[in-house]
Amino acid sequence: MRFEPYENVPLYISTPEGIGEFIFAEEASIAVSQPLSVTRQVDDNLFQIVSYVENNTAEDSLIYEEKTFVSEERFLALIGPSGGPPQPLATSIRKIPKDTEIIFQSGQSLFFDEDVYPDGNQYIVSLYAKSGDWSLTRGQAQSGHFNPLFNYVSDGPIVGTLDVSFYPSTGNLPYFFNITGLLNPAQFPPVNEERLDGHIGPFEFTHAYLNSFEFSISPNSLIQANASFQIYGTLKEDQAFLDDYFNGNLYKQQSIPHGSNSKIIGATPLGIEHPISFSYSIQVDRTSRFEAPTSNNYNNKELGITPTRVTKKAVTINMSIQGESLDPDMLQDGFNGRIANLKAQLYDLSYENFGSDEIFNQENHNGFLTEFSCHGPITSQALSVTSQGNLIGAIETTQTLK
Amino acid sequence: MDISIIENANLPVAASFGGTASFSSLVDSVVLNDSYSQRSLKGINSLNMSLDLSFNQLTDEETRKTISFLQKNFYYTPQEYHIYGVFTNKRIEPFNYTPFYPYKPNQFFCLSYAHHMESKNVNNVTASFTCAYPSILNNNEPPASGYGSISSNFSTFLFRGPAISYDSGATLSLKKDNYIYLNGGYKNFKLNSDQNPSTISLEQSTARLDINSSIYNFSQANSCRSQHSTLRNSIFIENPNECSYYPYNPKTESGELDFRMFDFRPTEGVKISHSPKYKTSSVTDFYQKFNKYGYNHNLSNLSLSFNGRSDLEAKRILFFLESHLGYKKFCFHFHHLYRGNEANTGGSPHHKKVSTFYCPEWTHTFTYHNNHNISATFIECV
Repeated sequence: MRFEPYENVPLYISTPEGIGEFIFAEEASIAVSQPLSVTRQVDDNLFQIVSYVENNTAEDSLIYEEKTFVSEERFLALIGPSGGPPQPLATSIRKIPKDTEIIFQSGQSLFFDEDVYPDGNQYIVSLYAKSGDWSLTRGQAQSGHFNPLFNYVSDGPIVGTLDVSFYPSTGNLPYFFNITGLLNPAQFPPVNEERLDGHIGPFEFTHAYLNSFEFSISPNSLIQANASFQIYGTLKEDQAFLDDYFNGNLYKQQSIPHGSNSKIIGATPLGIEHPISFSYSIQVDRTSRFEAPTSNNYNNKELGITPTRVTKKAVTINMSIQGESLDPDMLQDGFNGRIANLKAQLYDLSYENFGSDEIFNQENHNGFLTEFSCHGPITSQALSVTSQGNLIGAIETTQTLK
Repeated sequence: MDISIIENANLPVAASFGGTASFSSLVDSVVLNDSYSQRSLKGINSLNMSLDLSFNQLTDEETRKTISFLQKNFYYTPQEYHIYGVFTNKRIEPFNYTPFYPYKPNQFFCLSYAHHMESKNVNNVTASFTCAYPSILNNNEPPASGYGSISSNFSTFLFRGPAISYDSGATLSLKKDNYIYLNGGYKNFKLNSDQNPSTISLEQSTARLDINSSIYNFSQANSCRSQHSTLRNSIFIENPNECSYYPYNPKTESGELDFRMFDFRPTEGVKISHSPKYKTSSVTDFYQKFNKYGYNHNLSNLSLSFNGRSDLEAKRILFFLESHLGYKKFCFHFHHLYRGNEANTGGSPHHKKVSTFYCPEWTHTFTYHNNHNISATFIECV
């Protein structure tokens, strides 16, 4: 057994055409879930014996005659209500394992002689007793109970989530937002519903769709972002992918946005001169379309695994900012909200350029990296103070993109 | 108000999961005083099928094509008066459509549909389709006593020898997972692979059935029967030959029943309302007497659900109900508390070991892959 260390489990996100980028992830996880339910049927674990039948004759008698059981001797039982007609085992049962016990009203037990998989045609089963010299009366033979393994059915598609906590970097930042269709609202078509593919370690996933992206800025810390994707389709193992990883661009020096130089623009009209924290999030409302198969293609299980379309509906940006105060006039601005226009400009540490060295050229001296904005109404504002702190003003604003 | 038209010959998108097929029969019923009843269909198109379908998360372009297809039968065209004295272009024509599993292609009318614009470039279309010509003549699945007319009897060495004889009944069509039953009992065998009909013949003396059973031990040829013949047909169901049922009259310890058994168990959570028949004297408003009425005064009307069924089981249930055409009787084991009454133990005279029902209406919802919900109304009859 071998556990793969963190550095051997890269995260890679790409377009279906294979153009992609390694993501400098602090943490990544894939989880898959499926809504399942079990549907119990009337009397599905009630075991009733109509009669005992011979295993080498075609004719089956339905007249119950008491049988004296012999230890470990197998025999056949026709099952159903007393006197018939026989009734097959319930189809809510997936499997009755060999040696499953059937307990009767008399306190004695019979056992299944082999694994049984009911499909609606099992009128006769093979049983045995573990002890001999006893029998069941006609009434007692109607009272058996057993505990089988039941069937579960899918109530909906298998949906996975990929949650990533990562450092936006020079290389992946613009690219990440280009492929997720978030950075450039002017792109055409305006709603990019294209899927994403990728790898987490040796596991390849397809049909990933961005659900949310968020990050926050504090004065003296690296900027770390979180993204969450919906995932459909199959997960495949591809060990060969790891061979390319160590030659990938993730192992080159990266330039990472930092709170020291990053700027928050547009807070002054809101009464905040000195922002102390800032957060940005974008949420995408998505719905998947799965088509019901016909008789011609119902065996194609891919139809229930890969959606025909994953729509992108409401796209909402939320920004919040905290600072030393807030503008009290905002409280009196009346209905429909006062409009805020906040921008976050992300910068790296803006080190000096150490010359022509290729490594140092990549390292945190790029300055401006990218900008996020939110232009919309203020939805909430708060003033708070604690005994261990200062007066803090907080503002939240929202913008609907689609 | 018509949508901007795009011509297309077929419905351009498939329906989403959650589609429902509803069936109902138009029955003439004669009820006698003691709740004895007889039913017959009003005509050969009296078992109706309608579909309620959703086409979800469509793009604007897909929506235009879908609505264009559905509305095109209602476009205005100048009337042309034919020499035979009729208008030639007033008729609404049905279209070909293949519904969801397990139904076969059929002709449908779409007389109502709705377009819900959920969001930009996200649309939902719902439509109700009515089967145009659901002729019961297309159903060839007789009651229990009639299975012999479409099924084949044959003999085979089940384990160690070849198939040796073949009845001259219908041509068999034995496929993987079909069941064959030994004559005279409930012993059956599941086929492991498709069986070429020609191998079950005298000429192919080296052939034998590829079956799956380990609990029987036969050393000689036995007579078998299968209803899986090429004569089998359905009004609505595709490939009905995938459905295996017990092919003989159901047996009891006191003889055989005349009707087939509905061997599917309903989902738990059944409500049984009892409304026994009685007569009230109307001498005064404040002093009434109640009298039992008739011999069979407590016939049940069951609303049953069969939820979470696999593809094949749903097909078997649906084909069973279809083959009874909404009016034919079948037998059904209900909960064990409602079984086993004998006529001489104080119950109603009709109460035998097993009750008989007919099913005038049922609905089927394709919830998700291998997950079908069927609800049906079973009316007890004598």
